[in-house]
Amino acid sequence: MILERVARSLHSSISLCDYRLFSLRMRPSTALLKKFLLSALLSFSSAALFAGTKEGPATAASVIEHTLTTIYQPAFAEFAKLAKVHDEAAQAYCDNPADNTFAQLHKEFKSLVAGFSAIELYRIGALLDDNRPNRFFYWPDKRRVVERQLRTLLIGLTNKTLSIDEMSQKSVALQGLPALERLLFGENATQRLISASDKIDCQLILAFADNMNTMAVSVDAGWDADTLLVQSLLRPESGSDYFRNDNEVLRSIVTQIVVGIDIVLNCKIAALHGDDADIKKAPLWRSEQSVSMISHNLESLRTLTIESGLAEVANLENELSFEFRTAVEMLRKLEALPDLIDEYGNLSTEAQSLARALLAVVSGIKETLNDRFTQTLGISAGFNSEDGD
Amino acid sequence: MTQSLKKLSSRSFSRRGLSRRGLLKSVVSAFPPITAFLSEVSASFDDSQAGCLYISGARRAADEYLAVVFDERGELRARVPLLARAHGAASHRYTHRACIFARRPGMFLNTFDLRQPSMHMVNIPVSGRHFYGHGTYSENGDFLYATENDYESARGVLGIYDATKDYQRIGELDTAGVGPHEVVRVPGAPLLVIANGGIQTHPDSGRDKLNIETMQPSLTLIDTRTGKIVGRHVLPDELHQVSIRHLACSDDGDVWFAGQYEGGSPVAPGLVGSISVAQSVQSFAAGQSRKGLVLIDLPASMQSQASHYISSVAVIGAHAVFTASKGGMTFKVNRLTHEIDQSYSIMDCSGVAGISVRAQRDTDGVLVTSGTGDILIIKDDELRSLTWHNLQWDNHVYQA
Repeated sequence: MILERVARSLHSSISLCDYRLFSLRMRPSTALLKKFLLSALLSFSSAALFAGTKEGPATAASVIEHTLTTIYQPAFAEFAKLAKVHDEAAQAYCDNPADNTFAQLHKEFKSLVAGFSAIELYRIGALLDDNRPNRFFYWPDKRRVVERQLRTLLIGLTNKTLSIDEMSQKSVALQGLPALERLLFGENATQRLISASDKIDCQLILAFADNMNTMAVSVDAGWDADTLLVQSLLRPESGSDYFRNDNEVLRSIVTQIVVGIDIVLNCKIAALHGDDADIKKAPLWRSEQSVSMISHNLESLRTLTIESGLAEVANLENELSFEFRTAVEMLRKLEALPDLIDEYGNLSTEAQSLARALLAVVSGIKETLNDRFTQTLGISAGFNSEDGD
Repeated sequence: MTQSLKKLSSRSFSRRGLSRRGLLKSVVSAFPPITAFLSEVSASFDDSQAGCLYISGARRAADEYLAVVFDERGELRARVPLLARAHGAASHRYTHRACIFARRPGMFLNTFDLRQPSMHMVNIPVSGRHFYGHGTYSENGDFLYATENDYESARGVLGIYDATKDYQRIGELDTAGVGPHEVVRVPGAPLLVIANGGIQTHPDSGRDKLNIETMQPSLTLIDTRTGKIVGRHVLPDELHQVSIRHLACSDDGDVWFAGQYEGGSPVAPGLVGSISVAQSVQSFAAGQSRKGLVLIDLPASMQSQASHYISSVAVIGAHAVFTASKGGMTFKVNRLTHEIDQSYSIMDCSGVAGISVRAQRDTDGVLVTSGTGDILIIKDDELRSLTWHNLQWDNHVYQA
C-alpha cells in the first residue's frame, strides 16, 4: 500500500517557479499517522528499510541526528557567520569608501550569496517563519518589483537613517539579496559608491546588510539545541507542533530534496536554456552569481541526499553520487567560462551547450529521485500545497 | 449530446486562442464523440444516496486526472477520466445533475448525471472565454452558472448554460470584476454571489498573474431573475492584494470567503471573512459599500503558517471551516462569535465539505480531503482518518 502511495505521489511536479511560498511543514494528522504507521508495521516501510541496513546509519533516528548535526546546523551557522562578515564589510566600506573596501564588500556579498544558496532549499524551521524565503530572496521578479520599490525608497529617503525596525517593515522585495545586489552591482554602482557622494546609498547598504544579518541570526538561532524544532527532530512525539515521528521528519527531508531539485531545474537552470534563454532571467545575474548559486544549491541537495545517508539506505548512493558529480563538473565548466554572454548580450553558444548538458544531467537526478529514491524510502511529497488555485 | 459537442467544438476561436484551440481539438478528438466512458467503478445510485455522495477532482498519476464520486464511507462510486486537471465541481440534489470544471485557464467542463456518471459530456468554452474553475446550479437545477474570463477585455463573466439542453450556453452576465473565481447560490433566494479575485490572466500567459500591483478584488451579488447586480463589496485599499477566491453560503444567508494574499508584506490580514447577504443588498440599494462585510483577524502565527493562502471554505453547522494547503492546516471559525474554535494539522489538506445525510443537514461533521490521498473526518472536534485512496485529491470536494 505504501509503495502504491509513493508511486502515485512521485509524479508530483512543481510547475511554478514562485516557490517562495512553498511551505514544507510536514504535520499530518494523528489519524493519518496512525494509519501510516500501521501500514509501516504491517508491510514494507521506511522504518523497516532503515532497520535492515547493514552499513552506515542503521536507523531513521540516526539518519535524522546525523542530518541535523552535520548538515542543517553547520549550514545555517555558516550562513549566519557570512551575514555577519558581510555586515562588517558594509560598515567598513561606509566608514571608509574606497576601492579596497568596496572590493571587499563585493567579495563578502558573493560569499553571502554562496552561504544563502547552501541553505535556500532547506525549507525547514525558522527559515520558513515570517515570510523569510521572500525576505531573503525575492525571486523570480518578473514585474521588477525590487527595482521599482528601490527607486521609490531612494526618492523618499532623503537624509533620514533607516533603522532595522523600519527596514523589517518594508516590503519583502526590499529586504534581501536582489535589492542589495542592485545597490552594489547595478549600473554605475562602482563609480557612484566609491565616490561616496551619495550617503543615501550607504545608509541603504547598511540597513540591508544589518537586516540580512539580523534575519540570518534569527534563523540560525532556530537551530539551537534547546529549540522546539531541534527537540522535535531528535525526539518526535505526538502533540508536537513540528514532528510526531521519524517518518514525518524523513518525509520533510525527502520533500526538501525533491522540491529543491525541481526548483533548480525548472526555475534556475531553465533561465539558461532553450529558445528563451536569457541571462537576465537568471538569479543574481548582475553580480554574476547565477551559476555559483546553482552550484551551491545543488551541493546542498547533494549533501542532503548523499551525506545524510538516505541515498545509501535507498541503495542509490553510487548512482546519485555519480549524477551529482557529473552536474558539478558541468557547473565547474560553466563557471570557468570567461563570460556567459557574447558580444550581443546573448548567452554564448558554449554556455548554452553546457546549460543544455546540465539540464539533462539534473533531469536525470530528478528522475532517479522521483522514480526510485522516494519510492524505495516509502516517502511521498505534496500536491495541493505545491500548486493550488 | 453528439450534436452539442460538435456544435461547441466547431465554434471559432479568437485569433489569440488558435493554438490552444488546436491543442484542445487534438485532445478532444482522442475521445469518442459522445465522450461516453465506462467508469472503472460501479456507478449506479438510488435517490436515497443523494446527500451522501461527494465529488472531487483527483490525480492518479502524472497527467492522469479524474472526476471522482465517493460515498460517505469514502468508497469510490465512479471515476471519470478528464482531459486535464480539474478544480471545482457542482451538483444539484434533486435533478442529479453534476459537473466538474477544468482548472483555470479552463478549457473544458465535464457534465454528467450522478446516477450514471459513466455517461458524461465534455463542453468547451466559447470563443474568447475560458472557465475559471467553478460554477453552481440554479435553484431548480435547470441552469448552470460558470465563472469565466472574457480575456481580451479582461472582464469577468458568468456563463449561463441550459442543463436541460445539453448545457447549451444561452448567455452571460457581467460579474463587475476581474478574475471571477467561485460562485455560490444563496439557498432559497434567486441570488448568486461571485468572488472576483481581481487577478487578470490571459490564456497566452498561462497561469501568470498580470496585474498584482493594481488588482481590485470584490464580491458581487447578482439577481438571477434580472441579471442585475444587487450588491457589491470592494475590499479596503489596504487589502487590495487579497484575492477573494472561494466562497460558501449558509442556509441563513451568510457568505463566507477565503482569500489568498498576493502582496509582499509579511502580514496579511483579511484572508477570511463573511458578508451578510441581506445587509449587502440593503446597503447596495442605499449606495453604501462594505456594510455587512466582516473580516476575521487570524493570529499572525496562523497567517504565517498558512503562507497567506487559504485554499477552500465550507459552511458546516455553526462553523465556517477553512483549509490552508500550504500550511497543512484546517480550522473552524465560529460563525456567531467569529472566534477560531479549533485548528488541525493535516498535510496537504484542501477539499472541505460537510458530512450529512438527507435528514440531518445541520450536522457539524467535517470531511477533509488531502493531496496525500487521505479522506479525513472531524466529528465532535476530533480528527480521524476515514480512508485512503491511491489518488491525490484536488483543491475542492463537494457534497452532492
